Amino acid sequence: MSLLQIEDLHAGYGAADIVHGVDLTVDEGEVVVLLGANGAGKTTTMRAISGLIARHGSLRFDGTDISRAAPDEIVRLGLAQVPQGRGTIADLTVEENLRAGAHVRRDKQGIAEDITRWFDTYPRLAERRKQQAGLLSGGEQQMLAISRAMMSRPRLLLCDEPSLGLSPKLTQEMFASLSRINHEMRMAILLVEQNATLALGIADRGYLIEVGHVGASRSAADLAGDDAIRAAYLGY
Amino acid sequence: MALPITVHEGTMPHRGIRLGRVALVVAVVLALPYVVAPYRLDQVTGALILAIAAVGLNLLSGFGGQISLGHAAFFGFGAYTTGILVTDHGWYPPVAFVLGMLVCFVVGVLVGVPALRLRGMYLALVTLAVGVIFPSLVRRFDSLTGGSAGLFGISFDAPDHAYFAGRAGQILWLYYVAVVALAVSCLLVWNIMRGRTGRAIVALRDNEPAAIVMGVDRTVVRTVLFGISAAIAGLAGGLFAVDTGILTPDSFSLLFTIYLLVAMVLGGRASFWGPIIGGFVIYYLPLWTGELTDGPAAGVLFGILIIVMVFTLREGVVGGLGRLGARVLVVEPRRPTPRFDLSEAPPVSADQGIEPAACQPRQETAAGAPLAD
Ligand SMILES: Nc1ncnc2c1ncn2[C@@H]1O[C@H](COP(=O)(O)OP(=O)(O)OP(=O)(O)O)[C@@H](O)[C@H]1O
Ligand SMILES: [Mg+2]
Repeated sequence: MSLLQIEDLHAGYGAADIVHGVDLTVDEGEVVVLLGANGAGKTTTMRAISGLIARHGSLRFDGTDISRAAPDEIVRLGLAQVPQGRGTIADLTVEENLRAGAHVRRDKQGIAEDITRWFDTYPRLAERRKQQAGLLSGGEQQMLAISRAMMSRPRLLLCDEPSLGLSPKLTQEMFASLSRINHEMRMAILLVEQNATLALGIADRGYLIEVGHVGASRSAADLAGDDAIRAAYLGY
Repeated sequence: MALPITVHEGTMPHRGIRLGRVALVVAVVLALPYVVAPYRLDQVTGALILAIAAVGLNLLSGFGGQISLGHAAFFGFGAYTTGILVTDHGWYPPVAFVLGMLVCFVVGVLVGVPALRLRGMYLALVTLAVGVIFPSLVRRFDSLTGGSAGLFGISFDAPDHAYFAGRAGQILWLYYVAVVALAVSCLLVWNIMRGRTGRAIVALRDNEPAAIVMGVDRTVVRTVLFGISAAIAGLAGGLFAVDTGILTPDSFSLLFTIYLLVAMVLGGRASFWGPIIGGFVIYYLPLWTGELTDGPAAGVLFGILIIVMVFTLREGVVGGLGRLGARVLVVEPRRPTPRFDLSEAPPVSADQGIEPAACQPRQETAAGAPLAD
């Protein structure tokens, strides 16, 4: 049984469905990438999974039906999201942002340990722990976004364009970091990314989403070798 | 010594300074009755009541980011609840205050429900409607409220003690009552804002989708926040009732809400001292301009002073004072806590969702050097 199993997902913002009929699965410990053009419905799919927008279809997380669950219940079940655009809480300090990420947890000691852990992973955040998070650079905010999502101790991390606005070097570091999180913690990751080369480099499988429809699952190597995808997303 | 002086967070000097600040406030509060004339102290009580209402509005608008043009109504609900219970039913005023707060909490939650779906201008309009309806309600139910003629004879008599004897003693008594009420309101706000709920409130204000995917229950947080903010305004209203002794619907017009908004912005929104300072400014400024000139000129002078203050103190009086203070004193934040050592780490329970072995701190694995250093 897959960790996340989605069948025939429909979602949108009121008027018409943006996403119509998405099927996808993510297994325990797997990295799955969702590729697609701008406006194809990647972010909409991610929001639908987290319960941020109205949706219908079959959504199961670890066997539990989450198609009617509230966003906070979904977080409690172990699904966290790094929203597109980083989701920084600008007026909280860096450390308070991490604490806010642990909103659904009550174990004080565990939270303190995790804060230390993420400060260790990203020492730049540790140096700025008392600084307002809105004053961080784009790359630092992206590190904060991932750490904050991890503070809920998820089992599946939804990552919507973690490289947005980062330099090529920082983008590479970001992916190496995600890969490490995946390996060390056996964290399943569903990744939306424009930088298909790097994304496919750390992914096991991938899907291509086109105007609200998603194709069959394919291995990362297969996707990277596909001429049409090469032309559309890899640019070589 | 060269300025600014630097102290380190959590050290003795830092704690001393913080304690000193509290001690100073307590000293001023206790000394005031001995240094100002009773009629001046009566004014201070009026300013304190305004400050309490501003503290309530600041919780919702400053910290929560939700505008309300209806807070005069909550102030009024508190005032009339206290007034009616004390005059018609002979209730002991503090009990009436609490009931008034409860009434306001419920009304606040009810207003907070439609406010969930509304932003900016639309929220402003809905709360405006609440504010505008209130005086009409008072007039409509005049058998209960006294209508336009007013509700008279509300009082909170000082205990039978020589210290509170006579007219001056009564003023002193109400001053202390207002001080305690303000302290309680501030402690309530401080308690909410310093912890988990406070972070959720700010997160919802700064980035609602991000807050929701972190697991913040927007409906609960937003409606309860509205209710508590209304309850604090209601407490201020109850005090207003016993302080003035007479209630008429005109006291609870839109103008009162505007005063509260100005107080909050002038003092410094989303700060703890801001609404208190703002409440005093907005209470005393019209008194002073009224003493300098009279008639329409006083209103014009008042308006000009407000504009000047908003332009010169962008972050409010508190922000201005903070910048001034930073030239004298800098607090150095604590160093990060020592690194998390695996060998001492307690095992993580399985229900946390991560295998204990997986919960190690960073190790130098095949993936390479520390990232993003
Ligand atoms: N809040 C919204 N209200 C209405 N329509 C929206 C909203 N957000 C997105 N859309 C529309 O939904 C469609 C899909 O948007 P979505 O954000 O899912 O795209 P995406 O695949 O994430 O694109 P990108 O790569 O640019 O981030 C777009 O046509 C967009 O205009
Ligand atoms: Mg997107």
